[in-house]
Amino acid sequence: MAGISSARLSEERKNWRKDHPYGFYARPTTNTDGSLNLFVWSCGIPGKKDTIWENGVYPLTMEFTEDYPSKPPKCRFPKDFFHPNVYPSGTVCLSILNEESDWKPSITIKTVLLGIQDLLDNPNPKSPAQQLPIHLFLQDKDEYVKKVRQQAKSYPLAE
Amino acid sequence: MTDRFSAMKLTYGEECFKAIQESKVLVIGAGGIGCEVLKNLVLAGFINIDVVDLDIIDISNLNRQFLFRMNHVGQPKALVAKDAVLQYNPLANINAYHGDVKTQQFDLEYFKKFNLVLSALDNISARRHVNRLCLSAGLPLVESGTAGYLGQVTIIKKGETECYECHPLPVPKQFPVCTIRSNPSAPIHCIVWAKMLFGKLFGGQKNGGDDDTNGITDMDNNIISGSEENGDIVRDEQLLVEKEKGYKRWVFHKVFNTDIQILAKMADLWKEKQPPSPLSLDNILDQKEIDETSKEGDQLINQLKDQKLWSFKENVEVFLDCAEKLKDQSEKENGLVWDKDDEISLSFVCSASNIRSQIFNIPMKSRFDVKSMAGNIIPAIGTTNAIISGLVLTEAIKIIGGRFNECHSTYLMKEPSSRRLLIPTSLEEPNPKCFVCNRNFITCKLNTDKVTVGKFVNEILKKSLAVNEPILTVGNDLIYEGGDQDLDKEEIAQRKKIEEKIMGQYRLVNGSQVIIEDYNQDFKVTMNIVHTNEFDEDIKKKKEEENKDQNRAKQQDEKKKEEDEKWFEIIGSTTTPSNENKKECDATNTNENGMVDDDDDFEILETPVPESLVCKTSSTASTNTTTTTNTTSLKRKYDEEDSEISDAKKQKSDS
Repeated sequence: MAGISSARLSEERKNWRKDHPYGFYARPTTNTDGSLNLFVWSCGIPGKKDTIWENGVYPLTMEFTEDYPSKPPKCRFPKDFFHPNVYPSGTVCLSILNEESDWKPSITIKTVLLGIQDLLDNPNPKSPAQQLPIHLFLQDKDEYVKKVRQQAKSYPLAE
Repeated sequence: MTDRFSAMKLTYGEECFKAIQESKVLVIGAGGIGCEVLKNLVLAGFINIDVVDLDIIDISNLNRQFLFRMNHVGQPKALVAKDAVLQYNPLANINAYHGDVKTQQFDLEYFKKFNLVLSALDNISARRHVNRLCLSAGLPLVESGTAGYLGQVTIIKKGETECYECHPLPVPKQFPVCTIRSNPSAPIHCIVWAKMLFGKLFGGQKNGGDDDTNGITDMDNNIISGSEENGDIVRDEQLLVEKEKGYKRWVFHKVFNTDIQILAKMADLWKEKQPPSPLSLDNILDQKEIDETSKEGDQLINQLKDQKLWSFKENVEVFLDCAEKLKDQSEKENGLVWDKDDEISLSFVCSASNIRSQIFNIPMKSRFDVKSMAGNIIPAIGTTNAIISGLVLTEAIKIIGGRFNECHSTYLMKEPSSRRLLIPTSLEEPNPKCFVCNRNFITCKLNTDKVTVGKFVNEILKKSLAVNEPILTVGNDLIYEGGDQDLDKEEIAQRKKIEEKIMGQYRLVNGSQVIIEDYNQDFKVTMNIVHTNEFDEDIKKKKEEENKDQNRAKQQDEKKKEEDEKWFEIIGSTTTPSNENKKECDATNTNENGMVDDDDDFEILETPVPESLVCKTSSTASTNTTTTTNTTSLKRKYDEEDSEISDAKKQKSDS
C-alpha cells in the first residue's frame, strides 16, 4: 500500500499543474489502462537561453520509490546523454539528488528540474560521471561546445 | 470454564474476565511474537481468536517460535499454531488463515467482526496496511515489534492516539551511485558494489536492467582516458589479452584493473586520499596454478569457519572460482537472483567486496559479517519476543476490560535506564497533520458492475460529496484527474475515455480503497468501495413505499422520478464515541449548505429509509467541504422550507 510517497506525489502533481516554470514539462507516465503512474514521471528540461544548451528540450525520466520523499528520485536522461555529470546510463549525478549530501524531503520536483537545468550549463568537474564529456570539457572546449550544440539539435523544442 | 482461570478472575474481576471470554480478537502474524501472543491469549481465557499468517515454517524459526516442531517445517504457520494452542485450551474457538492480510480476503468487513486487533508483523508495509484498516474500522490495535534486544508495544486507536504513520518511518539507508561506483569509503559500500556486480554479471535479463550497470561499466569498454576523435585515446590493451585467457580472468582484470585505472585517473577524487591502485592477477597468483587453486578454493569454502577473515589471496582465489561457477549456473538457469543463503553467491559477494576494499584501503570483512550486512539481517531473540508478547497481553486486557485510559506504550531497552529495562510512556495524541489517521474514511456501496466511472465521479463525488474537481488515487496510480484549466486536449480526451469505463473494470472494484482529493479545495477523504446488487432489487419496493408515505415528494419533482432511484449508499466510518456527537453537529451545518445547493440530492433525501445517506465524517480542518449528514434533520428542512429550495438552486447556478 502506498503511503506518504503517493500522497506527496499527488500533491506534487497538483502543484505542478497549478504552477510550473516556462518551457518545462513534467507528468506521471500513462499506464496501459489509461491511469497515471505517480512513481514514474516523464519530464522535459529546456536549455537556458544564451547558453550552448539553448533551443533544446531535454527529456528526463524521474523514478520515485516508496521511500520518497525521504529518499530522492532517480533522474535519468536518455542513455549516453552527453554531459560530464551524467552516467553512461543517463543517471544524473547531482548533490541535491544525493541522499547523503544535499537531498532534503522538502525539495520539490520543480526544484529538482530547475537544479538540473542549472547543471546543464554548469557542470561539476569534481564529480565526473562520463569520460568523454569531462575530458572535452576540461581539455577541448571547442569540441565540447560542438557536441553540446549537436545534441541540442536532436532534442528540438516542440512545434 | 474450569478453575484454571480462577487467578485471572481474581486479578481482573469477574466482569473483565467475562469481557475477555466474549471478545473477538484478531492476531496478525504467527511468527516470533505471534506464537507467544497466541499462547498468552489462550492461557488468559480468550476464546474467539482469528489468526492470519502468510508464511510457512522454516527450520530457522524453531529456536524461538516454540509452537512449531521439526516435523512442521514446510507447513503454514497459522494452521500449525492454531493446532498447537488448542492443546492449551481445547474449548477455544480459533480460525486460522494461511494468507496475506493485504489481500481482499481480509477486507474492512472482515476486520469489523473483531473487538481488538493484535499485530505481530515483521514488515512495515503490512503494518501500515493493518494500521489503516484498523483506523478505518475504528478498531483498537496493539502494535508490537522487536529487533534484537529492543522491543516496543504501543496502542493505536483512531482519534485517541498516534497512528503507525503519524510520523515518518525511518527508511533503510541507501547509498548514492557515485559513492558505490567511484568513491567507496566503508565496507558496506564495497558490499553493495559487489551485489551490483553480481546482478550485472549473472543477473541475466531476469534481474538485469541498465540500472544496475551504474555500478559497473560496460564489460568490453577498455578506454582509460581520452577519446577516439581527439586521437589521445588510451586503452587498456591487457583486457583483451585477459579475455582470451578465460572468463574469470577477464572479469577480474576488468573490475579490479581496468576500472580502477579509470578511477585513479580522476584526479579530483583523490586530492585528500590515496588513489586506488589496479591489481594484476599475475602478481597475485602463479599463472600456471590457477586451475588448481580454484579447486583448492572450493575446499576452502567448506573448511573455513564463516567468522574467520580470509587472507587477500584467499579472497582472490574464491572470487575466481565463484565467478566461473556462477557464470555456468547463470547460463543454465537463464539468470540468477542474489540470495544470501546460497553458498556460492555469498562467497562471490564476500570475496569481491573484500578485494575492492583492499584496493581502496578499507578493512575487509568475514563471510559472516558480509552475510548479515548484505542480507540486512537483524537477529531475533526469543526472550525479547516473550517479554513484548507479555506486554501485548496486558494491554489487550486493559482495552477489553474498558480501561483504555490506563494503556501505555512500552519500550524494552538493551541497557537499563534508571535500573529499568522496560520504559512505559503515555500514549501520544494523534498528529493533526498525519496524512493517514487525520483523514476521513467513508464507504460507498453501489453496483460496480453497472455504474460507470463518469457517473461515479459526477453523481456521487461532485453532487453528493461536493467535491469540485476530484482527483482519485488508488495505490500508486492516479486514476482520475479533474479540473480542466491546465490539462491539454489529449489529457482531457483520455479522461473522457476513462469516464466511459465501468467502475469494476477500471480499478474501482469491490474492496478498492480510493483516495479522493480535490484540485482546489483542501479536501481529502479515503473511500472504501463496496460492491452490491441490493439496490437493483430494492428499487421497486422502495418506490412503492415512497409513494405511500411521501406524497409531498411525489409532487415535488415529477421529472426526476427516474433518477430518484437509490443506487448507492455512503456510510461514514465509526468514529470514536467521545467526539462523535460534536462532530456530527459541526458537520451537519456545513452539510446543509453543501447539500442544499444540489438538486439531485432529492433522490437521497426523499428515500424513506433514513440510512440512505448517512455520512458521518469526522470534523477536521477539511470538514468545510465534507459531507456529514443527518438525514432526518435535512428531511425536515425540506419539508418545512420548500420555498427555499428554488433559491438554493439559483445559488448553485450563480456559483
